[in-house]
Amino acid sequence: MKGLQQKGKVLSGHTASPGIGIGIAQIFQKGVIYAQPVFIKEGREEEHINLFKVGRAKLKEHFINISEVTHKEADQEIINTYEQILMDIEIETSVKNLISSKHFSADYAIFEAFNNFIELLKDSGSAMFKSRVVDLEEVRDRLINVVCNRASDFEFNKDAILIAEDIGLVDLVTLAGLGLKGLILSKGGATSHAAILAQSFAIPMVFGVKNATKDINDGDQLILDAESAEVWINPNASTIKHAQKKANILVRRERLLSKILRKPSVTASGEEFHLLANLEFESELDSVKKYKAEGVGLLRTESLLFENKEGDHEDVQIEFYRKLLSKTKGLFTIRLFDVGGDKIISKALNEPNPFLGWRGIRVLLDEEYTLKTQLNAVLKVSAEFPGRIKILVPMVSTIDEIIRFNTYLDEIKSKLSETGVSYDNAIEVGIMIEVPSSIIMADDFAPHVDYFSIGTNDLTQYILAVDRSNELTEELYNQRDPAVFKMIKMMVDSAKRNQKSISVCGELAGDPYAAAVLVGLGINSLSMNPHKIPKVKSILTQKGTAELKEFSDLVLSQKTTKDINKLFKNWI
Amino acid sequence: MIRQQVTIKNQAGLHARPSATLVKVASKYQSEFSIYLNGYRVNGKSILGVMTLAAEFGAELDFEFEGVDEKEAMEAVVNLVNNKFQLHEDQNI
Repeated sequence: MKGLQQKGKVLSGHTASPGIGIGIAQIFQKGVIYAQPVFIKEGREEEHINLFKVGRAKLKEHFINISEVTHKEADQEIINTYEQILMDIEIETSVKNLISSKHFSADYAIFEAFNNFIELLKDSGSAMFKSRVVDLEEVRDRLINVVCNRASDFEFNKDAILIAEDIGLVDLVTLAGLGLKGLILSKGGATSHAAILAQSFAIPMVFGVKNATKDINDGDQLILDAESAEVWINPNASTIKHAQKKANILVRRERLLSKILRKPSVTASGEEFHLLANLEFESELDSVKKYKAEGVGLLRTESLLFENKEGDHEDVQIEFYRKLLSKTKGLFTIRLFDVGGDKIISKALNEPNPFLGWRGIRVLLDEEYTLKTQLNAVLKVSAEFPGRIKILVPMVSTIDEIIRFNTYLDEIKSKLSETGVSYDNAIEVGIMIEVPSSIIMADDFAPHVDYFSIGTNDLTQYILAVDRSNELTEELYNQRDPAVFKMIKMMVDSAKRNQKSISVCGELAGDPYAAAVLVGLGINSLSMNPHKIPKVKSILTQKGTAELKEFSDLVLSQKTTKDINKLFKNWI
Repeated sequence: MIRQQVTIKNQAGLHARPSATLVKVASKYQSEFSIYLNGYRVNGKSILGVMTLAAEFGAELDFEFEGVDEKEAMEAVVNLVNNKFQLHEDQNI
């Protein structure tokens, strides 16, 4: 019991905005606004309508001032929405009616007019619409306060951590400007406006901390660890010290990260390079944005088949691609389904060597329906995002395959044209370079493709004849093998000879030292898991192109992976 | 008076921001704008009206315009819905 008291009580919730805040608790009490049913004498209607209009104009000005505090477009948009709610035509009509025909006082009329809409929203049965109730309540209460000439009765202690049931946007923006250290909500949600704003002001915030307003008292010492979504009430000195340290590290890391991400993507000698994201699920979009990926270098589409029985339906695919495209910018490379046959047709095939078996383009050329629907979906979406989409064909090992594919694609295009469906006519087609034969024959592939994309994960497996999922041969599978770098060099040389662009989208691209080698070899487009971007970018921006080239030459002259590892370790 | 049915195509439905955009565009025209859903009618120039429809993805709405510029107004808002309120990165209103 005593130990527990020393450690302090811990509450937990959900993270809305990351970070660590240390400060003194202050309970946010707005005082519920009760507009008393007050009725006015006949003849005073105009006066009260005027009170409403003047109050509205004042509050509008306040909103405009607040929107100048924030710089982010998304925040300003939210505040504009508030302004629109305030100036709503239906509210105006309803308030005027209540005053002139029912003789409500201005504040009571406002209260009633807003409440009608609030009730409708509460009844809507949709969580997202319900979460907007707090926005409406805030506009309502602010307007009533202004009309009644009441000052907001809450006085914020500078640097406090605030505890509330829920919070409106105007309050949050105001408090952020006063040095709010953290925000703990007993209700709230991850998609609320408060959460979006807290993130953009970098204020740690947790929500859904049940009993927060009961268990925490005004004046309690608090640690708000929004990383782990925990709140420590009255912790001991060493816990505070530890949290302080953790907070400092986080701040430093964030600062460094944003500094790197803000830099332009050029080497120390000024040559451009491009870092893109590998993407598979919608939930990864946040990190694509966070790490400022220039585009999507590889969209894996297999999840459509694994997650959804009808995932290969054209409409389902179109919706999936459209959603991802609308939430990203730049180039967007869609790799066609890269699966073994068992994932497409329902019967599981027992192949003795699945990695050498029926997969990638081999399946697509045999399963006409699957290929047709995917190409139709991709082409149709391409009309909405001209110049962004590229098609990437997986597992191509012979020239014949790409010729057959291109013929098929042309047929589908002309069918679409015949039926008047538009698509991006200049859509590029490239092949994954993951089978050694495609590198050996690269000069002959070149006339049939617009670009090459090296997939180092499978390429390594096929160069070294090592099953990458076999534990017995685990040590042999290494993407830093000298043979892998040599083959990549061959591929780059062929691409240059044939004036085709080339990129890398395997794990090797996200390995900072290997990435330096790839850029040194002349590949200026790398696609990787977005969280790897900062480290890769950090190395590439520190080195000049001549230095990168020299380093890649040195790496190419090594005989073993061990030698290469040593070089990487001692570089810089 | 002209009337047309539209289907909400953006995943999140007519939440605050799309509602705001819709109202902003509709308010540029003189014509009166009503939206009908399941027998409800709201003023299409009122953000609260539009929000309280709580129209989700796939909802089928009837748009009705009446006034001198009804054709242009209808074209503009229908385009907006079909383009999912232009909520792409660089096209925010």
